[in-house]
Amino acid sequence: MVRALSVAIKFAFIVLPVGGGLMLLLLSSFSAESGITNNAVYTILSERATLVSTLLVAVVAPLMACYLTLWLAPGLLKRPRLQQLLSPVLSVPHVAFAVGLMLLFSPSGWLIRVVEGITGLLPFPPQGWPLPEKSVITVIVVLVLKELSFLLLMIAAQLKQVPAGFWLTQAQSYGYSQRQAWWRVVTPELLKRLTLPMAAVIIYSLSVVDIPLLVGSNTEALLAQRVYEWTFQFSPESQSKAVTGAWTLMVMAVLLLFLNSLHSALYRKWALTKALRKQWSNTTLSDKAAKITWITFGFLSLAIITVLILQSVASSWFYPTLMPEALSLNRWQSEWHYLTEPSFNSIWLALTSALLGVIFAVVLLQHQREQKQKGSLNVWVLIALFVPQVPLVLGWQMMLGEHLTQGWNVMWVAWSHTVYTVPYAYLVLHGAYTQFDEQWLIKAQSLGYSARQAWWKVMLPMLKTPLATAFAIAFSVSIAQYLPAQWLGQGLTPTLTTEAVSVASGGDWRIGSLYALLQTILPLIVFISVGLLNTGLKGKKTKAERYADYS
Amino acid sequence: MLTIRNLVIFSEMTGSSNRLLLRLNSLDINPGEVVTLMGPSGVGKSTLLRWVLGEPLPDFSVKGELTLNNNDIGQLSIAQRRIGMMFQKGGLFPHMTVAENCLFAQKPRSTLNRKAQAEKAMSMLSSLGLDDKWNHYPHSLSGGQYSRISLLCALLAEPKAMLLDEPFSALDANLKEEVRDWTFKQLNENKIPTLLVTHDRTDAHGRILTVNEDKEIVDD
Repeated sequence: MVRALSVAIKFAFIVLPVGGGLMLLLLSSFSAESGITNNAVYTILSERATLVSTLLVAVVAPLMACYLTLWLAPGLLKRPRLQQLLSPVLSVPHVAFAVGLMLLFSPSGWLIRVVEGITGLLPFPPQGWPLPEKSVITVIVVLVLKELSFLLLMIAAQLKQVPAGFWLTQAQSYGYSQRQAWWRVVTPELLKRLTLPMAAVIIYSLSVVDIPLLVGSNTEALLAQRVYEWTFQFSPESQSKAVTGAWTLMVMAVLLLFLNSLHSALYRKWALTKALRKQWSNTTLSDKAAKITWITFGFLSLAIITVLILQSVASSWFYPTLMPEALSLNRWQSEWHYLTEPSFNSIWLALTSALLGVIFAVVLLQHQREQKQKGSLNVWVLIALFVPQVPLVLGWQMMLGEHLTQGWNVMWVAWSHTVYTVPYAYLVLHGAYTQFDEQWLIKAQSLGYSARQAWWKVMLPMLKTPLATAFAIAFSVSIAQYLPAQWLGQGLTPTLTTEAVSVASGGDWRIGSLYALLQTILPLIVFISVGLLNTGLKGKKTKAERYADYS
Repeated sequence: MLTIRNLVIFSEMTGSSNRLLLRLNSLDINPGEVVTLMGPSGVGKSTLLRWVLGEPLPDFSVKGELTLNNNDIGQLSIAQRRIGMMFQKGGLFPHMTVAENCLFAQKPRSTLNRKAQAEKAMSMLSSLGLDDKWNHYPHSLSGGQYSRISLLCALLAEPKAMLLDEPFSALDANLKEEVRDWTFKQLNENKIPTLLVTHDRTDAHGRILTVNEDKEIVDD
């Protein structure tokens, strides 16, 4: 039964989307009308600025996020409770994060107003501000800050499996300082374990469309953004460029994934051979800076939500005043009519795809347990995260063709969201599920329960916390999806994300803040509920745990 | 010589006064001498070792003087104290080969160049008949091989004192005696003062201390 279900899930949510999508893209590449042409190849290769910016974003953003995460991660060892803060930060969707960051950092942003309020040095919005509203640098900053929480969460999970504290003490007894020990002993192992999450981050950075549409440069658009724009120009020439661009992204993805696979080995070699500087003190400047960065990170997340709320109720708010001159709910009232449909769509899509994602991930993990493949992640389950979304969803669009215009598009949007919720739910659940102690199931069976009853009455209750967290993360993954809803929805399934991008990319940050705020609040409610549920579960033990205590 | 004076360790209890865990008036361990502290689990033996090593002990309140060769090392970091450790679990980094473990242990303190460091480690391995394990990962070593190479790495870091926490408990009875004798011989030859903690009397060596009913460490 589990095997049959597992095969069905793998076919419907891994083989069909990835294999089918890429196959259709490949077939369309040979189409006489809109296939790859020399002209299209030449056009793309001659867009040097686009190619360079695309590679820059796909290399710099993941690397910066990775090393910033590793620099901050010792804080997780000293204060494990920091991990609880990460999930809500992770729940803020990329688009809402970008809108909030713009409202904070743009030349007339809230933080600039704070500086003006304190120093009086900026009576007018500064010219030549290093974080202008639309640039490649802004895209990189948004991606780095947003990926930070994801990578920290991945590292937190790995730190439960690596005896990092003991390794640090051992290396210090050899004469290394605590920081040196971290970079030379713990980091090589963590980097090896981060290879797959980093691959997902790289591919996301390579093919992200919504963030560059919001905060990217209009003159030096990224390749994914260009492909997206070409698909909306219906001439055969544009379609040909779109297909060629999609394959260029695929080639870049293969190259970057290859480099990513070498990353941990190269780092390990460096860590073992690089000369050592004498550094005895345990509390270095780097530790203090890391502490300040943690605080800044927490403050930034809070400030983003605060500024989104303020902006959504500000009726007039001119530079350089710190708070809005007048507050009103007019904007909410006038937009309410437009907000209801996207909100409803986002909620039902997220609930359905998160629930299905968690159930399917459990089936796949159960099958993995039964096959005794306990230790490692099944790369095939995560494969959708390693293929750039632009060519993949373009392939789906070609594959589904007429189905999308016959009223079935809503179902296909839900399917496409589930394709992405399954791998994330699997990533979150993997450790807890595969390492669940078999003894509990055997004990329950020795008391007369069948294998299925033992699974239902003992294993699932004991895994409630990771299951709830996986649901919350899958929920926020669905809320954040842009391309699947935009392309497969054919404009008939507007979500908070598609609407936030279309409003804010037009430059209306005020209306955009309403959508961004709702987009943030929905996953936040789920995360808070999960947090309360988990706290409640810790206080009030389940039957299975009480049984465990007394056995 | 490793010296401890007027040591008091309290475990910090939330909502009530601190609980006395361990007291030690005076302890001198001479170069090459091994002193064994014995006692059941939970009396604070490992906490004492962690304090000597220099680990932060957030759940304990500790007062005492610690000197090594007449230098006060109580306020120094773990790296500065030059105290080696060999504990029950671990000792070799699992993601490094034996060669990499040996070179990693020497890097911060050795004045030799990398080639000479490798030669030194190799000659020590050869004396144990384990030079064929140079490029092996720790998981492929037997229990006895693992323990010996683990001590060898600790010695390559040039410690001035050594702490052993149940170092032989994972070994089977036949192997235990052989590894134990070899370990104590190495420590004696290198003139390293050593504090050993164990609950197994057969592992004890040299002067034996125990914890009495008043939580005080006294001669057995």
